[in-house]
Amino acid sequence: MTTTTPSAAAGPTLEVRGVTKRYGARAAVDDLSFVCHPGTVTGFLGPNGAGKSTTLRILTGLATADEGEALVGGAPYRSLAHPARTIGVMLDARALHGGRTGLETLRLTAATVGMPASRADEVLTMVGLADAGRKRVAGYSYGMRQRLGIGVALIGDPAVLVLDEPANGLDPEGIRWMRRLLRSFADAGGTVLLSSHQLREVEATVDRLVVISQGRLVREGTLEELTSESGTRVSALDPKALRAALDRHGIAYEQRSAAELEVSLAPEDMGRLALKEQLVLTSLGASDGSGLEEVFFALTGQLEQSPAGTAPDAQPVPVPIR
Amino acid sequence: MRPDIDLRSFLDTRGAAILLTLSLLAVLGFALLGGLIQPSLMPEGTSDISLTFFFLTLPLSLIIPVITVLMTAGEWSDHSIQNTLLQRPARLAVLTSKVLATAAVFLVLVALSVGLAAATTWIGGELMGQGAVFSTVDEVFTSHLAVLLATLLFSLAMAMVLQSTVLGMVAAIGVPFVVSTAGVIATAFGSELLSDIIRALDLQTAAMVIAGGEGTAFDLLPLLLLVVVPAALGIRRWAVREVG
Repeated sequence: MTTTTPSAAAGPTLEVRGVTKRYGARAAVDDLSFVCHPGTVTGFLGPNGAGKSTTLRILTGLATADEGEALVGGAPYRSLAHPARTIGVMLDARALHGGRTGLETLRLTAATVGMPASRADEVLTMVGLADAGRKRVAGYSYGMRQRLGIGVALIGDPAVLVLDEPANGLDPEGIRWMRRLLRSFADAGGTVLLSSHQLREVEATVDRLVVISQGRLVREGTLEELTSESGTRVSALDPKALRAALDRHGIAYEQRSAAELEVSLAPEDMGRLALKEQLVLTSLGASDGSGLEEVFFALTGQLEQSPAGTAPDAQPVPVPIR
Repeated sequence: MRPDIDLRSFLDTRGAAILLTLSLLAVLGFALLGGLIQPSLMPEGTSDISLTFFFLTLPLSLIIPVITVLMTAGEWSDHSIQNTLLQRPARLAVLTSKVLATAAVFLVLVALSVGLAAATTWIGGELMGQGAVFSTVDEVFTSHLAVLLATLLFSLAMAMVLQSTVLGMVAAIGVPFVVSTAGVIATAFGSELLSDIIRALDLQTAAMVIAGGEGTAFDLLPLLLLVVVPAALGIRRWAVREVG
């Protein structure tokens, strides 16, 4: 029987604990920690070069961390006896061999991970490639490769899915299919970590978000938390001093009017910052919730404007004021 | 270890199907050339299995490096190593498995070649000439097979250390050619020092000498320099190289 919902009962957690990875003097990932829980779809966001792929490669044993550890159900990926039966991974659809047919790719994977050959036919149908199974992968479009890559990830009937940019190249129907797949996977108790640049897609799919920039965690929380806490409108008696204080603490902000700023802090944190910096505020209040795109740029935008060549340690990272 | 998976993953690609077909045609062609034409060229009108197999070593000295490098290092070049290591994260087990799969293909290829050499020698000698000579079969094992085994070991070492199809093939095919050419030049110049240096790098000659039972400690030097050291470096690199 062909199943369209992966069985994912009691999925294990994914844990990234204090992971640091350096290439020369540059820290690609810097003391990054987060957890993905069963039953949730976690979006992993960050600008290009933020360290998302490096983190995923460390999590899946393709690279090693200089410090910290990444665990799948409490164990490093490389120590898992049958990793593909626990965690399905799709990092790069180009890594599929072009000289093999789609069906043979899945049959070979099934044989490798100890699943019956019939699972390959089942998954081929599940990912919508039943008609292209006998075609060589070299002749697949990028979207078809993405589907096949997701099929490879699903073939071991895992309880965890880690997908890097899975929506790339998918047509609208494919994106909707993927969204349903991930949702049903998580609803069945599975753990999903999804890296993507397509913010609208992420917004429609994920429960939780982990936002990183310059290899560091910028914000983690539910989608609602992030989109509601992002906008705080504030004005001060001395706007110049307010902007200087925000700059000093690495808080991203946007000028809304001559006197008013919108800052990426919760109102209470903005109040604490004003107290600490001896600023007289003339207005303070939560603005209407923003979309994920605005949150993303608010959280990472200031870092993108940092002068080139500045050492990562010297770059401001927005953090709540405590 | 899953050499069966590595064997299957090599054999089920279109590239491998083309390569193996061409290889079998080349082996068959050279076996026929060696076994059937000999009687008309040799003064005695016989066909000698050692000479037939010598003809076969010509295509095999190209086929073996190509297949070995593709099977061992090919996945690094086409990036499919990422999926392999995601499914089988024990890296050294994957490497060992690939080496075993390559060795299995080598044995089948060599056994097929010996069989073809024997068949064409018999056909050429007994049916078309004045007789087939099988008394020189010792030479096949002590000379020609030793060279092919050295080719396999060097190709494996290059594939392991370079982890690239192109670089691996260039090194595995090019270095023995350069060394043998340099050996001729050294002999022509009569330089003893240069000859010793070349001898220290001439794995194929060393293999023949060792297989013939006349090897000295010096003949182990090419094995150390061209197989053991690069293989050790390759194992280390295989274990730590980042993917992606």
